[in-house]
Amino acid sequence: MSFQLLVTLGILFGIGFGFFVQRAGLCFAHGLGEIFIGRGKRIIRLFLVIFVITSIGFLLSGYFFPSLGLKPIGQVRGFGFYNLLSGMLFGGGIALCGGCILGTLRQIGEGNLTFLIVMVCFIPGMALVVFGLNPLLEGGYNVQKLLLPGMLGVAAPYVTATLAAGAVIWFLAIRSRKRRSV
Amino acid sequence: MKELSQADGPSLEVLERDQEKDTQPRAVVQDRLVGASTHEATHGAARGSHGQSVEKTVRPNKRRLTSPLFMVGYFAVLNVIMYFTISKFWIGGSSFLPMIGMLGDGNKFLFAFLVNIGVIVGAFLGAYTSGEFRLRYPRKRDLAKAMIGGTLIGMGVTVAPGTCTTAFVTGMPMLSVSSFLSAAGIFIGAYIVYSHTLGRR
Repeated sequence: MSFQLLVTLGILFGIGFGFFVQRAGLCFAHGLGEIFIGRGKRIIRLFLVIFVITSIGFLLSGYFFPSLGLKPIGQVRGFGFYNLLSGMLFGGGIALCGGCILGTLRQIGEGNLTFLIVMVCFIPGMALVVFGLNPLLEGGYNVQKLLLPGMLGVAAPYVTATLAAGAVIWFLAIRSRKRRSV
Repeated sequence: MKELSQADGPSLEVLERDQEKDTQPRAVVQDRLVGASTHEATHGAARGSHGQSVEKTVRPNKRRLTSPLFMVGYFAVLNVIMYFTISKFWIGGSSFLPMIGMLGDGNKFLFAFLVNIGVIVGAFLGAYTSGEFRLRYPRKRDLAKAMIGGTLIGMGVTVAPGTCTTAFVTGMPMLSVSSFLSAAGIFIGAYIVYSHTLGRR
């Protein structure tokens, strides 16, 4: 597939993502805020729906196309220390400006120009790490690409099935509690 | 909620609106549970518990199919379809690396960046068609938070690339250990900031 065709399809998928995210009102920064003020049911339900569908879909992809299947996203760096650090910086950032990556893109699309500034300010942060910190740290990185099934020594379908079943039960529990409270 | 939204600027303003989106289908469910007939629930002048009126002509099934829950379902399905068709999935943070001149092996970051441009276009279409599009200029008091927050996000997405928001929509469903670690970090980092900003109010 040529890069032009790939990009065209990618942009079309992106338009779909943006449309659905906008209509769903999905933003993990707001979601975390909701959780911290005790109103986390909405975002947890949304996350569980995403988790169940994508985890089953990604698992099944390996059965249809062997080149697909489960793949590690990113790397475990420094035995996980840098991932935690990365998450903390990111979490602090999204809480401060009020938009995760999806939320930032969505709000730019909704006409909120503050998030255009947020997006532009990714540049100094990324440059600082890529050109400043990374060259210093790279030698000390312990880099691993790990999947949970490999780490636990359990076959992927069992792990996915267990987590997806847990997610479904959690979802149903939230729904029934919500109905009872109505 | 109102106090928080006024105090914390655009973020919680949108949070409140997002929660309102989620309450719309609830209004229909509530109308059913309190004993209103289906006709009354869908065509009558019923009002939900949160005060918004239930549209008169929208059928419950149609309303349900456009609820936030279904919308994230479509988002997830689209992510899976994208993986099946072009062997790619939506990634968050690393997709911005082209802004500092890093295009990645085989232009993979450039591709992801262009997908994100599509996300902006899609969000615009969604907002425009639902009447939620409104040009909002940055307020002075939000500028510092936006700039510091954006810089921290930029640092976060590069200290351990390919994680962060991607953790929730792609990494954790992929059972990627790095994403579970990042998600834990996101909770800690966000909690620290929230407790120092919202907690004091």
